[in-house]
Amino acid sequence: MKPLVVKELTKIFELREGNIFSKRKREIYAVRDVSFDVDNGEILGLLGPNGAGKTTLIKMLCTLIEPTKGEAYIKGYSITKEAQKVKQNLGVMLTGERALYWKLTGRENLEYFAALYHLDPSWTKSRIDELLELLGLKDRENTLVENYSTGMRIRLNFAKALLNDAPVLLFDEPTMSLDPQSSRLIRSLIKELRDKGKTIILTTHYMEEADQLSDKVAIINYGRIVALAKPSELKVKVNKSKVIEIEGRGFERLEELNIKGIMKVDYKDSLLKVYTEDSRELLPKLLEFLIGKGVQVSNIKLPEPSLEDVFIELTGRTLRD
Amino acid sequence: MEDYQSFNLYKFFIEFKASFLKDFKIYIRYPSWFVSDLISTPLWFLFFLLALILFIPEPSSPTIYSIDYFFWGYVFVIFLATSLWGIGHEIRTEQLEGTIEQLFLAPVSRLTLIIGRWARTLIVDLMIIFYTLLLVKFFSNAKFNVFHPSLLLFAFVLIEVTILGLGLLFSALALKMKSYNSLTTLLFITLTIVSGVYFPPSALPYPINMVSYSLPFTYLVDLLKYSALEIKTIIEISVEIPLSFLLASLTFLLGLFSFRWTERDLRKKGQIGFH
Amino acid sequence: MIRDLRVLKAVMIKDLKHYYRYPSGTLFLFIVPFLFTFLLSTMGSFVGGTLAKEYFYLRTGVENFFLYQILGTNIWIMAWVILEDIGTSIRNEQIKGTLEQNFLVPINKFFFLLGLSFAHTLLALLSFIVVVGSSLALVDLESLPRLFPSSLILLLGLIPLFGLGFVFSSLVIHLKEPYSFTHLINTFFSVVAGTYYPVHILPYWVQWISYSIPHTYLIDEMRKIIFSNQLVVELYGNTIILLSMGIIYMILGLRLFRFFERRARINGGLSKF
Ligand SMILES: Nc1ncnc2c1ncn2[C@@H]1O[C@H](COP(=O)(O)OP(=O)(O)OP(=O)(O)O)[C@@H](O)[C@H]1O
Ligand SMILES: [Mg+2]
Repeated sequence: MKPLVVKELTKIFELREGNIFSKRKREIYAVRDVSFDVDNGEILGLLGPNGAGKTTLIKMLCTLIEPTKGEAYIKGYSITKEAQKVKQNLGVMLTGERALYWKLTGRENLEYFAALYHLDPSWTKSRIDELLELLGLKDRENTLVENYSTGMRIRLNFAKALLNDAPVLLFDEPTMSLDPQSSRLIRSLIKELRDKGKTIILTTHYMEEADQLSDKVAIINYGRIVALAKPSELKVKVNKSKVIEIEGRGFERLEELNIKGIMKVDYKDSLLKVYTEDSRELLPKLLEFLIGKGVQVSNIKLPEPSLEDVFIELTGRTLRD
Repeated sequence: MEDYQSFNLYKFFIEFKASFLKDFKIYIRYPSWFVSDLISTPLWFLFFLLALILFIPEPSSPTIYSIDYFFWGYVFVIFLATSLWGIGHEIRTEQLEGTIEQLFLAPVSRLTLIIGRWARTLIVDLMIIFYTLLLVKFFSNAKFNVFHPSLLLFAFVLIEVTILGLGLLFSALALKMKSYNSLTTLLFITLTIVSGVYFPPSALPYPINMVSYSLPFTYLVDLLKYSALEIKTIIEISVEIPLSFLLASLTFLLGLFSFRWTERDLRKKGQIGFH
Repeated sequence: MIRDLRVLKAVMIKDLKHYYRYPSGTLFLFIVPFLFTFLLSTMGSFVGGTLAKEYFYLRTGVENFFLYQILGTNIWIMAWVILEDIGTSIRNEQIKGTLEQNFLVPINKFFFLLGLSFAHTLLALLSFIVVVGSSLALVDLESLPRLFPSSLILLLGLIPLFGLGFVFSSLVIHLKEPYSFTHLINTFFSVVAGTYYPVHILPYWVQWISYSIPHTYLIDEMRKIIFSNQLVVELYGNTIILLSMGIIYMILGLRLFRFFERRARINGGLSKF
């Protein structure tokens, strides 16, 4: 069994709306029938617009929310039946900076949680030192967290997630509100963790982050997984559409351009953009036609679709709308 | 749930210590509460006594007997306040400050964490009670002779078990209620009235004293006063002792049960970290 | 000016909504006074035995000790809530992170605070009418009309209390965790203001403090109106003192609030907690 297996996980929130006199019940399907698994040394990126259900999914996996239906196994332990075992095998970082005691110092926070995770006392100190060092917090370890910057708090929160050296790691937007440098640090740490064989899920809003880090990307929309594959495979999926860009001279000689498959043509000075359903199929015909008309072609581009294109195509939404 | 089944003494100790130390550190670092308690605890006692002076003939100091009597009642009230605010409300604070989800993420029993907190409050309470006792003794020439010390100790232990149970119950309430603080005050005063803290339940009018007789605190306070002042007990002392023991254990179980139930409910609704 | 008034309304409505959404907080103002008074009355009867009523009359000149006590409780709790709530409401916003948002908008802080106070004026008046009014109606129907002049005095007495409330809330911005402090001061005020007894039973030097806070005058004047049937005009001395205290504490409160707000801006403490 893979270290993380999710089977038809569903969460329906029941809300009561209105005032004391008229209450209506409303059901919100935050996560619907989600299934996937993640292997050792693999990162799954969860990508989805706001309210897609990413956080709910993560919280179900770490037992903070009880699923309405379905099951998931962390290292073979059921999240609904063996909560303590599950937690022992998890390192979790939830969104935000409120996860720590602001009135304790950075080190005290880690010491506290180390005890709660039953770290061997003889190991605790060196582990904490190591993590503080790793995240560049060593010289501020004795500062109260309330005097940390947001970025420092998030880094400390990250360190907290690594404390128990768990085999499965869940990160909910780990690089939110971090500067490029800290983000890079976190990303490279996540990669290192993967290389050490950890099983990782991370949610993110940043396309390049998902693209760079993930071995698999799951695009989630209205609680459903609408696509799940390697980033490169996902891109191939949308490769059929899109654009052909041709640089050259003599476009003004073209009166019309009606080859089967062309949807729209734009041209400006020396750049011609042809929109089509399937650029690879069209390209040879197009070139033949252009050359036949005496156009001098100097450059041809088939822009790679970005993950963003994939995302928009699949969800019909941009990431933050 | 298996959370509570696999009891391991060593783990319990580690978790307990961590929780206790964390609470203690924060408490020490922000001493304003301690200072405030130190001053306002005797002030409240004075407040009550002054209001009572109007009900007795001059010269205006209440009899020594009644000061003792009220003091022991007050001790119970201090513990009660602790379980409501010190234990129950603290968990709400963790919720507001956002750390509570982290506690639920760790593979520990929440019960242990609450016991750790309770231990911190107990230490502080005992300090404040002792200090108030000295003050009262100094200003009032009350004697504070104790009739039956070991029974008093026993009553204390039972009260603490009850307080812990109540603390759990109130923690559960605090997690569910948005406006916990005002509700707490309501409960606090109601319990003070019906538990026969400052007067025997027989001083209450008819339907209310029936409530008193059906609450565990009534017997615990009664036992406390009996062991300190040798006041006639509500029921035969040989029955009251085992009864108190039973009631204290039941309260503890009730607290435990309600806390577990609430935890589960919040998991379902996804509201553990709710503000 | 009109814009300022709109701000005032918005803040007030926000606060009243809060009370409406969390009704147990409001219930508190209406139920706790009865409970607390019941507790004290029972204690009094227990201590005084069968002669409790007579002793009480000899000391205070008031026959019904329940009425005497409920008036004290109502004013005491009201003052407590006002002093604490203005600070608490700011503190809660600080915790939830909305305080900074309130400071981002270009409004006059005075109106911000005033909006908070208006919400409380409404509640205070309502609780006075319900608690003291219903007690009078039950126990001594004849004196019910005195509720009207005493409500007027209440409104007057609220002004210095709000002033004190502002002082407290400025401390919130400064101290962060103010409850311990407000709790202590409020307890102290309740003792020295003679909530349940005439101030003159207190030691002489304590009375000095009693006479420098509005609570004492408010309670005293109310007792005179309700139990001795004195007219408000006869009590002009107290009234003038309350009025001038209103001015002094208001100015002091606003000054301090501005001062600490500036300091918080300087050392970046607005969002810390
Ligand atoms: N405790 C709750 N009770 C009711 N509804 C909830 C609760 N938590 C989340 N929801 C709803 O479930 C849906 C999914 O929310 P979730 O927080 O999982 O989204 P998300 O993908 O993490 O969004 P974001 O990118 O904004 O973080 C939303 O419609 C949200 O309103
Ligand atoms: Mg989210």
